[in-house]
Amino acid sequence: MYLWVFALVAFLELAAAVSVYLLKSVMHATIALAMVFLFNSLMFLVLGQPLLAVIQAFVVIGGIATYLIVGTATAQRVGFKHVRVSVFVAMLLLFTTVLNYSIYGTNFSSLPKNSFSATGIEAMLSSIGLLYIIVLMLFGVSIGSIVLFKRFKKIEARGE
Amino acid sequence: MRQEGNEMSMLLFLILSLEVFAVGLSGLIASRHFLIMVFSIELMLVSSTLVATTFYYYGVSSNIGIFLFAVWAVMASEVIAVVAVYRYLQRADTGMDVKKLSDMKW
Repeated sequence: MYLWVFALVAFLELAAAVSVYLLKSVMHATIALAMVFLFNSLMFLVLGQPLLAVIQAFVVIGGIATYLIVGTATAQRVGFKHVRVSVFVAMLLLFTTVLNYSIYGTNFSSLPKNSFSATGIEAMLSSIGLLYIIVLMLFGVSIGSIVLFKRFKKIEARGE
Repeated sequence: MRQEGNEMSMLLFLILSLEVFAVGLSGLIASRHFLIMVFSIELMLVSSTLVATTFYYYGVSSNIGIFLFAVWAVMASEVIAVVAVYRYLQRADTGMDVKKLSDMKW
């Protein structure tokens, strides 16, 4: 089961990371980056480190991502094709091969045996689930306020 | 607490973090947008925190707290500086294409 949790979070994190480059609007790219931070923090939970996960959630999502979203809220859409998708895919394949080459074929047998049990997930549910709900609420409020702000600007531009 | 059948390999986490790093590096090369390039660096920094936590969990490294806080501090300071530059570039109307940022030369 925990393998499925890992696979789901990993897929979502990679999808969010790729969509940073594929989304046209800068603000949407910023929200995708914030999603990468969020799923990275969830991955800390899967690794059984709830304290680090909460610190990551508060500092990176609550501080850095919110500041970025506020900073780029009034930005216009990207006016030029900033990513050449073919180059991006080619580079991704190249770097994936090169970076993962060093760890393929090894099983880290010289390292201490792990005792992975995904206890962080139970810990999340019992003790820090409330903190996570607070982080998600604040994050939703910040995005919602930006959406409202942009809508007000549209109404102002129409002169209503 | 060890539970049989639930162990996951360290390789999975390392491959994930290397994949995120590869996405960031590819985006840094393929993109010409100033802000998106900074996002790429953020992605690489985030993947490094995941590597550090993986190493900590699996007993390779015992003290990663300083590293993590240093990375978070670098991310925060980078974002603060970048948003300031971004707003300046918007006001100066030079565009976000890094190929045209030579317009900022004195």
